[in-house]
Amino acid sequence: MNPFQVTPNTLAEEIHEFNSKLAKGFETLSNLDEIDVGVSEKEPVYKEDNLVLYHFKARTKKQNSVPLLIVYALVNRPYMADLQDGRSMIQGLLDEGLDVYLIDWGYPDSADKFLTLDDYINGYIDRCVDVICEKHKRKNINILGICQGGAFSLCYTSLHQEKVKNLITTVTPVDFHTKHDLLSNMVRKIDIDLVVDTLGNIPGDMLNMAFLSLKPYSLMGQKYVDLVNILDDEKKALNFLRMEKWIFDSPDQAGEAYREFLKQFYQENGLVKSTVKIGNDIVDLGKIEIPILNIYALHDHLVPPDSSKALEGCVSSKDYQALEFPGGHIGIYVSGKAQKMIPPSVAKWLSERT
Amino acid sequence: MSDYKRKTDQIDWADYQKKYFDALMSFNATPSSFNKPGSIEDSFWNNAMEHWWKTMKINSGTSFENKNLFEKIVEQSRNYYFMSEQFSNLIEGISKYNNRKNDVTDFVNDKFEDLKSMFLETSNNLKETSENLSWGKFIDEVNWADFQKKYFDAYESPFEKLSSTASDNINNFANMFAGGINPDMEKLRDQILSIPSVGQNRETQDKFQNLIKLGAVYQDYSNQNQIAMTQLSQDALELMRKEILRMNDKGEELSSMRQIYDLWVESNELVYNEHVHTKEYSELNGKLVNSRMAFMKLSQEINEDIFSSLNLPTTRAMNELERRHYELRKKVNVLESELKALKEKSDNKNTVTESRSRSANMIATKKKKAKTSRKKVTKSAKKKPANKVTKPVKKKTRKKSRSNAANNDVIEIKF
Repeated sequence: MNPFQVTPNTLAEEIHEFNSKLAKGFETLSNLDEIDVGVSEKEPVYKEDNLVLYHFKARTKKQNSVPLLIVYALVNRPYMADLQDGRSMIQGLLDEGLDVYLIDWGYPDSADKFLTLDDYINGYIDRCVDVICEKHKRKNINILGICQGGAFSLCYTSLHQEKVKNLITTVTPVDFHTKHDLLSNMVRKIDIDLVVDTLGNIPGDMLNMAFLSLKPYSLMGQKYVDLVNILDDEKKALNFLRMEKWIFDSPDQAGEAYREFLKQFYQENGLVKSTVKIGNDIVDLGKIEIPILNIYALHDHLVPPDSSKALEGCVSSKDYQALEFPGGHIGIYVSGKAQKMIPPSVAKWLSERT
Repeated sequence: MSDYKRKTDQIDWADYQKKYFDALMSFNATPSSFNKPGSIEDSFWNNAMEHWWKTMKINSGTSFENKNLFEKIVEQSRNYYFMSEQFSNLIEGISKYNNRKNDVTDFVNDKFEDLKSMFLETSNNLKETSENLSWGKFIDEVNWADFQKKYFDAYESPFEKLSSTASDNINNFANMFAGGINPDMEKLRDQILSIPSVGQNRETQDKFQNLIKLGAVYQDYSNQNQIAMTQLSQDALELMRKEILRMNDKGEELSSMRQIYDLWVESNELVYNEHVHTKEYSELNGKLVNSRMAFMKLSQEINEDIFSSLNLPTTRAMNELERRHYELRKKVNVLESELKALKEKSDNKNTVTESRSRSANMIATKKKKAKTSRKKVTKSAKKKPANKVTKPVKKKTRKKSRSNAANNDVIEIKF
């Protein structure tokens, strides 16, 4: 049988239908206002340079007594964890009675190009932890790291374990040389020193292109053809636009920190080899003895599951637990499935250790 | 007679044509280039889309963000139309063979073989002059490579973006002599590069020569990358061909243009994914980025020299300023934390002094009271003994000073 059961008639009809949807889509987009993101109520409690530490307003009467600090990645913006009503990990955590803080790194500018990982980890993160500890009159707090923020949290915990009660890592790369790590293969032979010396801060667009180029045909083309089919539905269109806004909202990367991260983590795989140097200290994950919950996504194309799972073999913690989420790198924060799974699991795990 | 044969035989082509034009009318387009497959620019539906989009974007009040998104949608829709138009030719060809499985297989094989030869030709040509670039012919002169390029055109390459600097003229100059172009130009390039630098501007001449060399190196890697991508497109089409033949064998159908498009995307993703896992990709990508950066860095240096000579601010100077600014920020942070610690210590000392003087006052008051009471005792033997009054005071004082000492220890640890 001929596999192509498409006649000129059906083809013309298909194109006609597509055109109609496109025209309707334009109407929908014309009627939409600016896209709002970040749904949960919050207030800034500490500011330093471009960084803002936010405290989210409680949504329950009773709360876990140990505050939770979310350390986001330097790449993209943290509102992905609080995208919209019903698609917000932070909202879920608040509903579970957690007292949530979040570090928003802001948009590094030219004056930030010399910031190092030492400044980020032993400087900014440490001062944020101190602010929260002081506010709550505590010696330690819980930390939840997201992606690169997870790697930072691991470094921080290794260097300042006394200030971390429990650590949660989500889609966090640990072993940067696993078989399916495309990003790692992409940067393995790049002369990072030359890149940073030439560009100073690394343009966000350049990183974006790197991420999109991992699945170029789907992410740069097919996605927009698919979009035409949902553009007649304003709600769905808004959902798409929020995500689109987030994807292309990419801050530049402070040059020196980028240099250290790419070389020590991606190229030298220093986190598992205990060769990462932050300031004057070597990060030894083996020193970490506190309870750890490691959440990874099964279909993550940016941080392969194997890369995250490697953490178990690196730490000394006797209370290590892994949680596999059946979705992708972003789905773990915004999908409906994630809302039902991640915040309750985190809250339960923490309450058992508070 | 099969259903499909009946369907195709019964097609009222005039009606089809009318529907086709109706669809196009929705774009306010003039069907001037209909059914002239070739480059994407010649595609009728694309032109129609382009025309419609220009009208819409002028007249709409859409926000910049949404307009930007819609431009991406329109760009990809144009690609989708282009594919549809070209595949309609393939479908039309296959429909002639009706149910004869072997004929369909032969036809599909022939068409995809044409395509593969075309891509090989492309790869070879890419090494020659840009003017001679001939993408070959596939399914009635489809310019697939052009399509491939256009597929990603909505997204500016970050490198292209980065090159939009004051050094553009230098870039162009260097690119003009880069490899992979007209052999005469290559000869000219080699001649220029073989001239020794002399005189007062020797260093500048050297830099320009180096820049040209770096531009040529980058261009070579860029060509290699383009060839690799072309090869991937070829592999993806091979995969697609196999899948279509598999479907032919199994009696499975592709019942819409969208399914064909999705199959094309899927084939490309699979092949691409395999490629980016290889060492070859890693190495080529490294060379491509590194050569581009080396070229940019030297361009910057040349620009900086020019700016310096004109007493204009340079990136070098800005970097130095920003470095000093950064170091000052660090110093301020250290000073602030020291100041905070000192303040805490001083506050604590004050608290200690205050509490000591309060204790001292209390003791004095109580001693006074005790004296008074002793006097009273002497006056009246029935009153309580004095030590019973002073004892608790002494104890309390000791306790208080111990706790102050403990506080001081905490502060010391903080230091």
